[in-house]
Amino acid sequence: MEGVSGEVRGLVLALYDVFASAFKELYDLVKSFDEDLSRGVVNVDEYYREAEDVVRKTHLDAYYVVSGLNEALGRHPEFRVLPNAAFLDALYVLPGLLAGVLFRTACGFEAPSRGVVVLLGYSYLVLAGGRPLDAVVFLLASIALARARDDVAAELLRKIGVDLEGIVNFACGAVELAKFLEDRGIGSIPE
Amino acid sequence: MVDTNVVLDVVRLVLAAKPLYEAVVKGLKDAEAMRQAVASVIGNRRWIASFLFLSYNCRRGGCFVVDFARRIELPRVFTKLLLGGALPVGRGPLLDEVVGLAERWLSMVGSSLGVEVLSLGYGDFEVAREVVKAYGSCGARSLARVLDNAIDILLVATALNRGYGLVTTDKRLVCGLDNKIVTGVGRVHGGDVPWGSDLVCPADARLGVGGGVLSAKIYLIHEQCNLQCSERERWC
Repeated sequence: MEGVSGEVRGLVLALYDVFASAFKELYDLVKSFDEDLSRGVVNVDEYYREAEDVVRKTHLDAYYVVSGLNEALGRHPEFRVLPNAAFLDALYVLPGLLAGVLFRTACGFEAPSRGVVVLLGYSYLVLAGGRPLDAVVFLLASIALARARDDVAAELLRKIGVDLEGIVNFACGAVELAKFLEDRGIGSIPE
Repeated sequence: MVDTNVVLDVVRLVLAAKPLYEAVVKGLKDAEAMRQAVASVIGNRRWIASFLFLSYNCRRGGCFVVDFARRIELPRVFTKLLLGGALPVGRGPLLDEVVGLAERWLSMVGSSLGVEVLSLGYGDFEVAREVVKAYGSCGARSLARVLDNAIDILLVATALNRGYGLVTTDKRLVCGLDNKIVTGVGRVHGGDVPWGSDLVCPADARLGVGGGVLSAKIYLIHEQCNLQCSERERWC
């Protein structure tokens, strides 16, 4: 997580924690994946199959992750500005908003932190978009990138038809576009 | 060609996240701003869907948001915002930038098609705003659909502003040519509508511009028009 510091680092780590600890199966998958990365022996096909299993067995959707998100972030005083659990019913799309935050954060970094945080952002975005398998794959790819295993991240993403370089460029292109408008006094675009 | 609205959705999501981002990065404890940021996204799952749609269509290296949208979509975005009233049409650096972007875009289209493209100016945007109102009074299409073709309206306005009696509109609408960009302006000899008045919606277009009045007839082509255009009839 080089280059990611302070409150942002805390947020990123807390979000990892929320995602992985929301469900035991997912936590076990992430833990095992991380250990294999450390040992340098990762079978991408096997982990993709396991991710499919986790998604099949687990009711993994935005609502439940937001529940965990509120609970976990509540333990971090620095993030108490985040909407609290009282908003829960209305926060179904909070992961989508968090993705926007992570994209903004990520694109202020250089590689590899940029890619790491962009992929984490996508894991929340696709979750909000109702694609839990893609969300797990993005999460694993983000961890792989943080472990400097770009090859593993790229191979995982290919499983869901995503190009690593392209998707990072896209997210940061969108942020650049938004900042371009903001620099000219445009903070929102009416429907 | 990607729908401008989809690009706007992507930008909307990132813009909406700004208060939350600032709360995290800069420690701004503005709970109300946060609440509003969340509220802005609620019910807008379309933004997320648009982001995912475009992301997955982004190819290695040349991601269109950078290489495509900045060059091609942005003039359309700005023009849409200006003509829709979301941005004020007034002299200044923003309008200068929009004019510059639009001119470069039009120049690119013009040179690729080998046609003359009129240069734009401040007054053209004023006229375009009036044309939007005229379109609205015509009732052929909703304002939102009209603004989807803001660049075309700008072209119409530019031609009117230079004394052209009649201008063409978007060939995509006229001929249904599979989203190819072949929009342009051209002089129509004699001032007659070449394809029959039953296919157009005449709108009262006494456009007030800069204290004067620009009189012109605007002929709006119905979307349902089944006009047949040959490859050589570039401007119908």
